[in-house]
Amino acid sequence: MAVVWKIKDRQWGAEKKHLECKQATSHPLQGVRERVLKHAEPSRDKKTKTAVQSNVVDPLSSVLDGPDPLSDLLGAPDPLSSRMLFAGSQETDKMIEEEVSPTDSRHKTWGQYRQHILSNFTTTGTLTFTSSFLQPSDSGVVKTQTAITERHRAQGMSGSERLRARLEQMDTLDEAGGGGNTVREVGGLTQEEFTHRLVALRKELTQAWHSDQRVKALKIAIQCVKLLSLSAPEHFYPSKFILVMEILDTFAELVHQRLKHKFQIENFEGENADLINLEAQETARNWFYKVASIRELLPRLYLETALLPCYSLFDPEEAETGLGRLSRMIRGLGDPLIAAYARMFLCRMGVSVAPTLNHYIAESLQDFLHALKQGLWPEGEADMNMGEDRDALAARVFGPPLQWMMQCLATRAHHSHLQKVLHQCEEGEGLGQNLLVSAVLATFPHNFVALQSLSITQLIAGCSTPGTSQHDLLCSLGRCVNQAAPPQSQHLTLLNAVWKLVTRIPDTSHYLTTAGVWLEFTAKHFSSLEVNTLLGDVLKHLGGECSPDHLHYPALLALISTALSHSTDPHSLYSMSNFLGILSVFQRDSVGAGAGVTRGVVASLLTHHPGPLTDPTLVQHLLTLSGALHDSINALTTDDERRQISQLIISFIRQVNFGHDFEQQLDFYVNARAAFSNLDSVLVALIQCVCQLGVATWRVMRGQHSGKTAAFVRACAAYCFITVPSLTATTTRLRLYLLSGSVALLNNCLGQGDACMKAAIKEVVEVASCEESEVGGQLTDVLPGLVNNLSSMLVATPDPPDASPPLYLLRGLTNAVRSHPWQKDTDIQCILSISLLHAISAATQDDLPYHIHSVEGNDSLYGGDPQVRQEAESLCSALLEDIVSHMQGLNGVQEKRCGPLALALFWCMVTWCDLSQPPLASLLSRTWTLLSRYLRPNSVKLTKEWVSQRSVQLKDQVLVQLVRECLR
Amino acid sequence: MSLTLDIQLKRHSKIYHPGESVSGVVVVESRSETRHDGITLTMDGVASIQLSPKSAGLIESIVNSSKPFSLINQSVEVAKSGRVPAGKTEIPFELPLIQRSSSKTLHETYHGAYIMIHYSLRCELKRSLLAKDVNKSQEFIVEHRSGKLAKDEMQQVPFEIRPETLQNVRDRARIPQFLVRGHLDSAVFPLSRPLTGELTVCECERGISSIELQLVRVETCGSVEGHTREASEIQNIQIGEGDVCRGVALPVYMVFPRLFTCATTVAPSFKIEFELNIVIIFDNDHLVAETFPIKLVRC
Repeated sequence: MAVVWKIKDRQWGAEKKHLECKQATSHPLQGVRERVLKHAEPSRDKKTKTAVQSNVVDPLSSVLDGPDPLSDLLGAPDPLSSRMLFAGSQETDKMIEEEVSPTDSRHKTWGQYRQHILSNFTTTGTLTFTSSFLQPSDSGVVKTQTAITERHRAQGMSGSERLRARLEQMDTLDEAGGGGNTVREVGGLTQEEFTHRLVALRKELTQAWHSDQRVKALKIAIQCVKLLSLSAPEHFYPSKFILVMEILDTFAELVHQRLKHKFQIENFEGENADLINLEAQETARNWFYKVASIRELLPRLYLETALLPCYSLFDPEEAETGLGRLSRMIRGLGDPLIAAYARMFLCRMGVSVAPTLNHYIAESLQDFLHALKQGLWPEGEADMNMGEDRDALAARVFGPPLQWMMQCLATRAHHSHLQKVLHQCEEGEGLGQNLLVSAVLATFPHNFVALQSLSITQLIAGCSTPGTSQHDLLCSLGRCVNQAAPPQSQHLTLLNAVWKLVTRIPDTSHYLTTAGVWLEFTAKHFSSLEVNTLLGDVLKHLGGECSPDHLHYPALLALISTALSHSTDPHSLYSMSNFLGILSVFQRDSVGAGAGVTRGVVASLLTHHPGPLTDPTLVQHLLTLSGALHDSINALTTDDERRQISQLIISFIRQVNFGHDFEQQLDFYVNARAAFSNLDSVLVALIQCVCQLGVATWRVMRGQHSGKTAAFVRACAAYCFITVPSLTATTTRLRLYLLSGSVALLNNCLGQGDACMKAAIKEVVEVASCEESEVGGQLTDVLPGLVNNLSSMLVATPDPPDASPPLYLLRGLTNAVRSHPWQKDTDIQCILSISLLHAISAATQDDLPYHIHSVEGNDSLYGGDPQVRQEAESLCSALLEDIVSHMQGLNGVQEKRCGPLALALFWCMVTWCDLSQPPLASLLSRTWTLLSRYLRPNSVKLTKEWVSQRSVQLKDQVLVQLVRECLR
Repeated sequence: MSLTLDIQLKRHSKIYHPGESVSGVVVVESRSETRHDGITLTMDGVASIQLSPKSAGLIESIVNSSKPFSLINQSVEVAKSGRVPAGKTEIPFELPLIQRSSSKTLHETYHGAYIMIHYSLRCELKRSLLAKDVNKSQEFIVEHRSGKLAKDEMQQVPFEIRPETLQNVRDRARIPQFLVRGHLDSAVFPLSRPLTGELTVCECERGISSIELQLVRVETCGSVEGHTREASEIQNIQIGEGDVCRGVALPVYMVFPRLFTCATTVAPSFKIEFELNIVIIFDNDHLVAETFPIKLVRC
C-alpha cells in the first residue's frame, strides 16, 4: 500500500530559536593550526619554505610542502657509515674531545681532522713496512737485513764511525739472539695491509706494556715513528701520520698513567712523601733520559712531544720551555712535509700542556714558511698520485697541518699576533703564501678577517701561484665578511677591490660561485642599485657565450636567491633591469634548464617577494617559468614531485594580485589555465580563484551589477563552467560545479547557474558509479554530504523559465537518485532519498526557508501554486515508497541497519509530514517501532525527549497525540 | 743453614758526596740462630787504569798497566763475634767518606773503557773454620759537590766550519763548498743540564743527509814517559735529518747520559776529558766533523 506524502506547512516563526551569543576567548581553529606547525617543523630546514609562503598556501597542505621526509633522508649522509668510521677510535676521540673544544664552528677537532685525513689521503701504490716486531707469519716479501746496512759506508768511515757500526751490529745480533727478532722489511704492501700491521703493533705495544716489558713497548713506539721518516708516497703520508699518532697516543697515555699513579701515591702518604716523590721523579727522569738518548731526530722529537704531559706532572715550566725547544728542533727536519706534520703534532700536544702559550706556534709557522721558500721536493722525485699536479698535491698535503696550527693560534692568540702572521703572509711568496692565506681565511676569527679584509684582498691579488686557486680564496674571504662585516667606511673600497679580481676569473662556473658569495655581501650592505650593477656584470659574463651552458643554471639560481634573501630592499630588486635580465636567461631556455633549477628559481622568487605580486612583467616571467615547470612533467614524474610543483604553482597563482584591475586578473587566470592544463590541482585552485573574483566583484558592486560588471561576472561563471569538465576527479567536479553555480546565482547569472546545477546533478550519477578509490573515501561517506549540499542549494534555486512542470531541478535529482542502479547491499539510496524528502518538502513551502540575495526563489515565482505542491507530493510519495520497500527488504542480519534509517525517516516525517493523515501516522508509529528496536536505548530516550519538547514548543496537537500514543 | 747478607743504603739514588757519611743498614737474614766470628764492613774506592793495547802495544799494555790503586779503604766492625738470631736482623752503620791524604783524591765514580773508578761497600761475615764466610758488596756512587760556575767560563764558543777550516783532508776537491756557522753556549757544561748551542747551515752546494752531535770521551793513561790517549763515542744524537733549511738556526741540544760521564778529571796518572764532535754527512755519504773540547763539571 503506497502511502501518500502530505507536506505540512511549517511555521518558521514558531520554530525559530534564538541563538545566544557567547564571547569566545580563543579561536576555534587555533589549536589545529598550532599542531600543524609543530608537525611541519622537521621539514622546515628546506630553504624554499618560509613564512611568506606559508601564509599563501593553506596551513594544512604546508605540512606536506617540500620533498617528503623519506627522500630527504636519502640525501643526508648515512648516519651508520659515519658512525662506523668513528667506532674504531672512540677512546682516542674521547680524549681528544676534552683537549680541544673549538670555539669557532669552522674549527675542527682532532677527531674530525683524523677522519678527514684518513678518508682523503689514500694510495693505491705499495708501501714498505720496517719493523723488528712483525710476526713471523707475515706474508709478503720478507727481506732480513741488519740495521746497519743502510748506514754502512765503506769508504770514508772514521774510527768512531766504524766503532759505532760495530756496536750497532752487536745490538742487532743481540736482539736477534734474544728475542728472535730481526729488523724485517716487508715491501709491496697495500694500504690496507699496512694499516692492519700498524693496528697489530699497537696491540702488541699494549700487551708488552702490561707484561712489564716497557722497553719493548718503547722500542715499538720508536719504530713506528721511524715509519714517518719516509715521506713518499706523499699523498699517503698524512694518513700514515694519523695511524702512527694513534700508536703514539696509546703509548703516551700508558706512560702518563703510570707516572700519575706513582705521583698519586705520594699524595696519600705523608711521612714518606719526599722519598716516594723522589722515586717517582726518578722514574720520570729515567723515561726522559731514555727518550733523550734516542739517536734519530724524528723518533726523539715525537716521543719527547708525546711525553710532554708527563713533564707537566712535576714541573709545568719544564714542559713550557720544552715546547719552544722542540719547535726549534723541528727545523732540523729537512723534508718540509715531515716537518709540517711534526709541527702539527707539537701544536696539538702544546695546546693541552700549555693552553696559554702561543709563541711556539708563531715560531713554527715562520719556520714552515721559510722551509717552503727553500722549495719543495726536487722535481720529479715526488710520487705523483694519478697525474696530480705537484703543486696541487702540495697544497693538499700541507693544508691540514697548516690549518691545525693556525687554528691553535687563532683560538688563543691576541689580534696583534694574528697581525704578525698576516705580515708573514705578505713576506711569503709562492705556494707558501698561498697556503698561508687560505689557512688564515679558514681559521682566523671572522671579525679579525673583516678588519683586515683590504690587506687580505691585496694578498689574494698577489697569490696567482698554484695551490688554492684565487677564486677559492675570494670565496673564503667573502664568507668571512658575510659573517662579520668590516668597518662601514671600507665597504665600497673592499667591494671594488674584490670585484676587480672576480671579473678576471676565467672559468665561468668559478666566476659564478665567487660572484654568488660576494653578491651576498653586496646585498647586505648596499642598495639594490649596486646589486643590479653586479648582476649586470654577471650577465655580461654569460652574454659572451650566446647560450649559456646548462651547467651554470644552478649557480645562477643560487645567485638569484642570495640576492633576494639578503637584500635590504628586495622589492626594488624585482624591478631592476639586470635582475629581470637574469630571469629572462632562464626563460629563454627554460626547458633545458631542468625542472629542479626552474623550480628553485620560482620558489625563491615567491619566497622572497614581499606581499602580493603586482608587477605584470614579473608575473609574466613567473608564468613562463612555471609553464616550463608544468611542461617538464611527464609520465616518469613521481606523484610527489607532481604535488610539489602543483603546490608551487598554486602559491604563485594565489600570490598574484592586480588589485582592482579585475579584468587583468581574469586575463591572468585565463592564461594560467592555458599554461597549466595538465595539473588538476592547479585548475582547481584557478576555479576557486575565479569564484573568489566573482564574489569580490559582487562585494564591490554591493550586489547591484552594472552592465559591465554583469558581463564580467558572466565571463567568470563561463570560465568556471568550461574549466570544470576537464578535471578527472568526479567529486571535485561536483564540488566545483556547486561552488561556481552558487557564485553564478549570487551574481544573478541565472542561466549559468542553472547550467552548473544541471551539470552537478549529472555529476552525482557519475560519482555514484565511481569506484571507491576514485572518490577518495567510502561512497556512503562522501556522496550524502555532496547531495545534501546540492539539494539544499536547489531549494533556493529558481526553476529555469522554460521548465514545464515545477521543481525542475529537484525532480531531476530525484530521478537521478531513483533510476541509478545502486548496489543492493548499501543503504545509500535510502539515505539520499531521505535528504531529498527534506529538500523537496522545504522547496514547496509557501515561504522558502532561505533565498539567494536578490534572486527570486520558486515561492515568489509560483506564488503558492497548488500544482507545485501536488508535484512535490507525488515525488515525495515515490521516494517514500522506495524507502519503505528498502527497509522492508532488510532482514536477517541486515535488519540492524534499519535503526539509523528509521531514525532519519522518523525525523523527516516529524519535521515535514502532515501527521494528521492516518496512513502517515501509522507509518510513523511503525518507524518508531523499528527505531526503538534497533537503536540503543539511550538514543531512543533522547529522541523521545526531543519529540516531546518539539510538540510542546509548537503546541502541535498531532504531535502531542503522537507522543502520548506511540511513545508511551 | 742459609744465611744471606744485604746492604741497604739510606739514599735511594746511592749518590754521595765527599765529606758526607754513607749510612744504611746491614741486613742479615737467617733461618736459624747462627754463630759468627764478627761482621765487618769495608768501604773501598779503587781506580784502575789499563793501557789500551791499540796505542801502546800489547806487551807494554800488560807490563805498564799500573795496579789498581786505592783511593779509600777503611773498615769497621759492625758486630762482634756472637750469634745472629733467627729471622731478619738489621744492623745500622755509618761510614764517613773523607779524603785521607792529599794524594788520595776522591775522584768521581766513572766507568770507562780504560779507566774505572769504583766505590763499594763490602760486608763480610766471618764464620768458624768449618763454614764459609759470607760476602756481599754494594756499589755506591761518588759525585763531587756541586760548585758554582765561574762567570768567565760561561762564554759562548763561536765556530765556523768551511772546507778551508778542515784539517786532515786527503782530497780537498771532493769536498763541496759549504759554510756552517754556530756557537756552543759555553765550553764548560754542568752535567745536570743539557749541552746547548746553535748551528746554522748558511750555505752548502750539496744536499745534506744528516747532522749529528757526537759526545766523545778521551781517556789518557800513564804518566810522563808513556801515556796513551783513547777516544771513544758515548752518545750520538742527530739534530738534522735530510736536507735542512739553509739559514735557519738549528738548536744544538744534548742531554748528557748518566752513565759514562763524570766531571772532567785530571789526576797525575790519568785524565778523563770529553769532546763534542759536530758531524755533517752529505748526501754522497761523505762527512766532515769538527771537534770541540768541552769541560764537564758538577754544578
